Amino acid sequence: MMAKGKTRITNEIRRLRFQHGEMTQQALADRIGVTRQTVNAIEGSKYSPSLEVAFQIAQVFEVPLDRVFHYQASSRQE
Amino acid sequence: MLCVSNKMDTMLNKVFITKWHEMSSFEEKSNLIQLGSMFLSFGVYVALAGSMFQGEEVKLMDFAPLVFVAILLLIFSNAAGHAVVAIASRRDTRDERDKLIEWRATMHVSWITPAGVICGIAGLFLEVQPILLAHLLLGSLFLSEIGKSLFRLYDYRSGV
Repeated sequence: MMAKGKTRITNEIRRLRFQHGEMTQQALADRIGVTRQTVNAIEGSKYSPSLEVAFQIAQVFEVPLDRVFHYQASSRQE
Repeated sequence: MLCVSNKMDTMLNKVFITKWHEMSSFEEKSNLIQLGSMFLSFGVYVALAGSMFQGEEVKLMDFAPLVFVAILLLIFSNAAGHAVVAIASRRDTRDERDKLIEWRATMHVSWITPAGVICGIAGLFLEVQPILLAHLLLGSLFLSEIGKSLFRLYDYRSGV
């Protein structure tokens, strides 16, 4: 059962930020052109970003998109 | 007392993303200012118009200065609030999440103003007093805007 307000898309942004010199949410937000609050919401799986922002995040960390975001299929689909 | 306060804080943090002051973006603060301004201006209008209704017979034109005052109050409180927030905090540009939240809120309340207009047309057929029809339309307009701000606030706090 997924918590209310959470998306099925999880991510590794927090871990990647710390691996990249403890990059702050604000620094990441500035590089991808969104607000810090949006980065926080993405990181907490409260908001699923557009494909463009998702690719921009992957580009900042220099990793493929699937290393940043993971999709959790529902039990019905499984 | 401190224990209760901590529990309350933890509970609020669970409901919302994290602490209010740390999280709110410029757009969210702007939304709060708009909501406060609307409550203030509409509240003042309702309080004064209500007292006018209770008195002797009134004409629609008697409310014109009151509408004018309410609009001025709305504009000035909005401008003052935004000026304070702009000085005190970082001015972020609107991003895709802000646009999505606005779109969702608009979608939720888009029926209110048309419903008010349809009720107004029905009122014309039923020969309801123009003064009541005018207030029905004004009320639906304010309700729509207040509802929109409340939905935006909810989405900002709970996530979309």
